[in-house]
Amino acid sequence: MERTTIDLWVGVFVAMGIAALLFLALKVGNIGGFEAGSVYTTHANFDNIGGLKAKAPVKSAGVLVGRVTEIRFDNDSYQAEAILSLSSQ
Amino acid sequence: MGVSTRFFFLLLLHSGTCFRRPQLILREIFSSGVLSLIIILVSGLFVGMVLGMQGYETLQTYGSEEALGVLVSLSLVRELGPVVAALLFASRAGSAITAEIGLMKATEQLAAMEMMAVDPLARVVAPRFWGGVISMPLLAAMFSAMGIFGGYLVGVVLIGVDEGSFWSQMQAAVDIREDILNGVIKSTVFGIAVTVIALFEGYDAPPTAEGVSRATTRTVVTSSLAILMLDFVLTAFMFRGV
Amino acid sequence: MNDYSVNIESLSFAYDKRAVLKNIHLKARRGQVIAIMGSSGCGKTTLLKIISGALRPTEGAVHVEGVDVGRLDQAGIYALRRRLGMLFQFGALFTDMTVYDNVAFPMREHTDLPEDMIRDLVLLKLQAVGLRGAQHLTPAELSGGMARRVALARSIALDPKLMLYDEPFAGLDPIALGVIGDLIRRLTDTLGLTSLVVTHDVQESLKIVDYVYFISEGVIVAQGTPDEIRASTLPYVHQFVHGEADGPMAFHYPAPAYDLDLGVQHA
Ligand SMILES: Nc1ncnc2c1ncn2[C@@H]1O[C@H](COP(=O)(O)OP(=O)(O)O)[C@@H](O)[C@H]1O
Ligand SMILES: [Mg+2]
Repeated sequence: MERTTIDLWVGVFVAMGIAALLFLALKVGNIGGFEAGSVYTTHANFDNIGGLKAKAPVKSAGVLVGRVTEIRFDNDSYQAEAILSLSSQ
Repeated sequence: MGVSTRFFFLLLLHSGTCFRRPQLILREIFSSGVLSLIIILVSGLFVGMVLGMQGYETLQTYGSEEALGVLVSLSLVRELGPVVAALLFASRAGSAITAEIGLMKATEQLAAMEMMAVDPLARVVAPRFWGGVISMPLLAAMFSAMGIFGGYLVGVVLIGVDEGSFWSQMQAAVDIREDILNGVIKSTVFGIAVTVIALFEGYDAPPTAEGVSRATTRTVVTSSLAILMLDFVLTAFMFRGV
Repeated sequence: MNDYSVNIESLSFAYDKRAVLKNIHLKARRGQVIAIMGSSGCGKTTLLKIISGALRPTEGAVHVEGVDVGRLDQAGIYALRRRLGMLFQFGALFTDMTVYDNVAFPMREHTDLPEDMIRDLVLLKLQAVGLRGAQHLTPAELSGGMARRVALARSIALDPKLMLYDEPFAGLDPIALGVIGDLIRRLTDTLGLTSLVVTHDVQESLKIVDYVYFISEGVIVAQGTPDEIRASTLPYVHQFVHGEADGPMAFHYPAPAYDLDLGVQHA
């Protein structure tokens, strides 16, 4: 196999692989969403969080506005406290 | 196991030559990566189409067809992409590596190289390792991307799931670090496992026709098992308690 | 001392516990072609491996080009090998490269010569073995004799001082055999090499060599110039030179008595 043919194909291959990774990161994943922009942190207390977990989406009117960053037990109120990180817009 | 770990470190130790001559690695990316392209792209497409079909059947009983994008993408990015691509890689590229090195040994090509004061570990083994390790995550990413496209074709184009919610729910659910980056890490680990097994089996094969053919079979069997076991271990570490 | 390319004194070698070579004394004067003969399994390849540093002597000293091979570390052995050439029994050409790239391989690995100078050198070496026209072929397209000539061109690529040949005549037709024999002699004379030829082909090698060593079961049993060997009355040498099936070298592999094996003596 000619050296230049190999170089060309390897170039195409690597470009395709990087394109696939970019597709996954940009189109499939949520890079460039609120995580990359400015966020502010707030918290909400619940008597019972049910199945809520960290990284669960926070929605307002069905629109994704942020994520649950952390869940902990509030020793003062004896409630579950969810720390939310919400998009600034 | 101990011997192949030693082999792995020897191989890293002998990687200097091929870093100084990247052309050696490019050749191996060609034979491991480029030559595996077709099988990876076609398999990815079909796996994604099946996921789209099966996922739709299940989801619609709960009235949540719009979650199809989530189901397809998470299955692919977290599990099927890295695992199936690595299994295909083991049988397509891994077996070729073992057979080639085994035959080079059987026909005294490796001994001849040593007689010319060229170290086969540095000249033959290390470039194949790096070629495989670089190719594997790229192939897995292409597999996943192709699969998501296949799921889109079946779900949105064929069945008629709403395109907007297909993508937006997917984007809301798939996390770049938790899912995509972990998928890349998985496929890199699989790439290391498969190439080390393939190279070791070839290098260790008895120099006969029978020895090489057995070693080739062993490469496919051992690396498939290694992929599945490593997948369990990595998944346990990565997604536990998320 | 410096007169000898190879000087082996009291060499013994054993794989694990099994003695393969016993008390070998062998000298090769610069510019000579030396034959080492003996039947298969007598330790000829093992001897070449010791000379090239792939195996270490169990006892005795092996001096090659003035250095004691047994005392070299890996780097020293690689340095020595740059001055050695070895022709493997079946050529051992790199099957994924053309003839040209095979011959260029040692130059590309060990020198920083520009590509056009490598080209001149490769063509020179191929011309020496008469295969300049075959430079674009792959090893799969070569006959056995041609493959061995290409391998020969590759092994002289870096102008070695000492050439080792492991059964260069095995499996060749009479014409190719004569060609290889001629080449060994001619290259030795024109390039000022020393050649060590391991073989069991008596007739061909007696034509081209200066001195012969006979090894049997790890011991040197006879030595001499070709004329002395031809005239030898030693039974072993006589059997070998005249190709007789039975003699001191038994036709039968050691076995229990035949009738015992057949079970004739069933009680
Ligand atoms: N790696 C090895 N381990 C153990 N024994 C070996 C090994 N290689 C060769 N032998 C034995 O040493 C003897 C000499 O082998 P070798 O030098 O290849 O013979 P020759 O080249 O004269 O046919 C043989 O009996 C062979 O079985
Ligand atoms: Mg031999």
